[in-house]
Amino acid sequence: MKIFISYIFIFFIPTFTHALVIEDARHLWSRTGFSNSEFILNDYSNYSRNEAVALMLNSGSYTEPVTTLLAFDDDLYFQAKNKNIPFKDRREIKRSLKKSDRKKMIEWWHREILSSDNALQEKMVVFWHSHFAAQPGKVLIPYMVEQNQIFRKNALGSFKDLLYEVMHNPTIHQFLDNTKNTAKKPNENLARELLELYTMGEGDHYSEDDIKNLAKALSGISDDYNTKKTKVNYKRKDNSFITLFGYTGTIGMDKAIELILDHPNTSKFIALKLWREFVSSDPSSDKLNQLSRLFHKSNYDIKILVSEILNSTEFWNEKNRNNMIKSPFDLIVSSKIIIDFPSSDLLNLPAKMQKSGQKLFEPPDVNGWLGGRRWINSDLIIARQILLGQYLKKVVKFYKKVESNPNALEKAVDRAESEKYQYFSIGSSIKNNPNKRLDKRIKAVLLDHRFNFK
Amino acid sequence: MQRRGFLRLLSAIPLLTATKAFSLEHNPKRKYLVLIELKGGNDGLNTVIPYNDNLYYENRPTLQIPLNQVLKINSELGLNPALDHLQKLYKDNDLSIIQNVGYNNPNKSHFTSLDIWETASEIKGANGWLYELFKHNQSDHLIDAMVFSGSTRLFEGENPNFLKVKNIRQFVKQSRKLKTPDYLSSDPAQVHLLNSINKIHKVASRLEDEVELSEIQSIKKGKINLSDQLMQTSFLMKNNVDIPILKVAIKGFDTHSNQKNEHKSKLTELNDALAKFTQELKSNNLWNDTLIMTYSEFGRRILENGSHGTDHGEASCMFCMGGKVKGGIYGKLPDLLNNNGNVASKIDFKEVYATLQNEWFKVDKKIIKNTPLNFL
Repeated sequence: MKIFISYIFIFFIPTFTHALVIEDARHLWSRTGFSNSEFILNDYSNYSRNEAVALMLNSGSYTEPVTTLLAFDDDLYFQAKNKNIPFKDRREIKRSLKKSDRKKMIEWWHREILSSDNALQEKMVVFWHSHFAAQPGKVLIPYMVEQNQIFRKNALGSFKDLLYEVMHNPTIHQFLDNTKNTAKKPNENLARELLELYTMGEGDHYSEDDIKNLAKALSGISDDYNTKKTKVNYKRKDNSFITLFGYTGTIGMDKAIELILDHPNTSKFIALKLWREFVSSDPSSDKLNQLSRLFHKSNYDIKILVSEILNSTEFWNEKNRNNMIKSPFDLIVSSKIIIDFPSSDLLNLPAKMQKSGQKLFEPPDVNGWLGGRRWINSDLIIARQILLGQYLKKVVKFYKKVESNPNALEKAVDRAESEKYQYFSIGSSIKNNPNKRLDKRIKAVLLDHRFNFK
Repeated sequence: MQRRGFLRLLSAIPLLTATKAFSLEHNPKRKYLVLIELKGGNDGLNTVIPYNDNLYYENRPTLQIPLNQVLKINSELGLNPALDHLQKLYKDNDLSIIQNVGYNNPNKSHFTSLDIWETASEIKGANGWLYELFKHNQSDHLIDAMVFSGSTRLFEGENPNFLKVKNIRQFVKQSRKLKTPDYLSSDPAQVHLLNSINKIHKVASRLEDEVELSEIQSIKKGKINLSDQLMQTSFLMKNNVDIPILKVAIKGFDTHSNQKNEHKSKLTELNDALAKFTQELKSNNLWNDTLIMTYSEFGRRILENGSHGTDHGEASCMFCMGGKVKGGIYGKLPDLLNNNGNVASKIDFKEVYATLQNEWFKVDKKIIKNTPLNFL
């Protein structure tokens, strides 16, 4: 009889009775990027878990950047590519472009993150940026900015489109030496990472021969500054007959992508990576297979996959809450939203983020940020405290200047202390103690070590 | 200080009662292992060059080191011209070169291969091999290891006992501002944070106790390169900060293109840093207490690729240095003829580890079962 009852519970609870409680709302809100969508935190009791998940995901639908996109000096970029200009001069142009535009690019994204209302989208852009990790050393900056727009547009769209567009953008080709990969002189760098890191994951499902053949399929590709896309130079392409994942013929990049997407390990690898982005414990192999099939069948619809993850019992399990370590990006975004800080003044943020281990547009290597526990080690703990400490200093200073609203800081502190945003209670000696200075109170919340978790 | 009281309370570890001057004389029990990670997969063939092998020149049309530049160490092998300090160490019998080091069924992913090297296991998620070694042999050190840069995997496990520190000077200064946690938790992720914080305070207090503040303040600020990392390493050793393993790293060995200049500049950086470090250790009477070992996740292909670089390969060479090292070449010449274009592994890296385990740390419980080499 007992078994029977629990059986009923398992089936009916999620659909029927699971109106959110505040802990649920906060959990969903924090794991999905600390969205500005306050409705979840304010009116939680109006929603079931499923409804809340759907609303949260819809709030993350594509929105245009709110800050002005960067403009680049196209003339100079064309000059840098013009073979009629002496090599030395071109190199000098490239160097100065890299220096100025790199800084512009990094500041642009940080400003966008501080200004955007669509925190879930920004979170997903960071996720894909880490997945298709590239550093600007070898890459033209306008290509990386374009790549960021590809992440943005497809953040919760189709992984198929995302992969296709990323592969048609020159960034990873330049970063992983693929523009040097030709029929005569093969270079395997991109071929290997395409399988290992972008699609299938490392393992026995591909061989060293697959990598050599895939390198042939990816040969002869270069960049076109006019379109900011890749182009194929057929004279440099390897057109020999090859076999890749059971298909034999002359294979180009698009066919290779198609074959890779048909491979069951691709949906599995991406499903697992997205699961780990949202849930603190790994899925059972049954659960992973189910997600993988669903993802594959949905034509690689990221939103459907994420929705399934967020509706899983594992996601809502009490044991899996408040135990994921916030990334430096999460730290800043959650602070900004909790204290409702309107300024998008950068406050030297890129440098501080770098010290905390997450320099945007400069992931540590081709594997991106490993995240999880690796966000914390002795060096990074200290850096994170400095990151938040300095951010708060600026916040306090800013609010003290807002003379038209002398209570602004107090309101921000009250917000930060409220149960709505914190899973831990602030000590009563600090909270609501009129004698405590406001800046001390706000520090007590955001510099509490538990604030590192989501 | 607040954290002092907390530490006394929390840990049973007796804080060293203010004996600032630990003896600097030779201490037979004191032993340091300094690990240098060459990130990206170091090209063994252009590091230790088989200069008499025609196949070397055939396979490296643009990347070959010209014969007249090779720093010859015997009738078959020579060092890259950037490595003149290592040549000197070799002459002094303080350098052992271990050839064709790798493992069976080599993996060519940077990340997986490095994991295999650092865990001595092909099981995903395995603990670091040095973590296991110290766990099974009851370490009573302040902490087991300090990592200045590169992977920390070697020391990771359920209850890790290492610190990652970018710069000691800033570490000591900034750790003072780090709040002592006033709550406990049993969640593994939370425990990870709390343990790390406690370790930070433990090591920072020790440093403040043992070393004059002015000395700490004389350390170079900011970002530090390989040579600076090794200087900080010797700083800890000189001051007896009881951390037996120190790890540093140098990036840039993943030379898929334009290898010639890049590889040379990386080896130069390594060579010069080691020259300075050797001198520092010798003048502080530490050279005999120190074993320095380089490693990299894999070697590179025998045949250069079309971009004047080399793709991911298999076996490579390792260097072990120090006053107690029996200098020489261990292993045969690399075979450049077959094995699908790769230098085949002839010596398992675990044999090198077994040597450290048995002959350097001399521990009771052996976790590496391979037969050791005889370079120590």
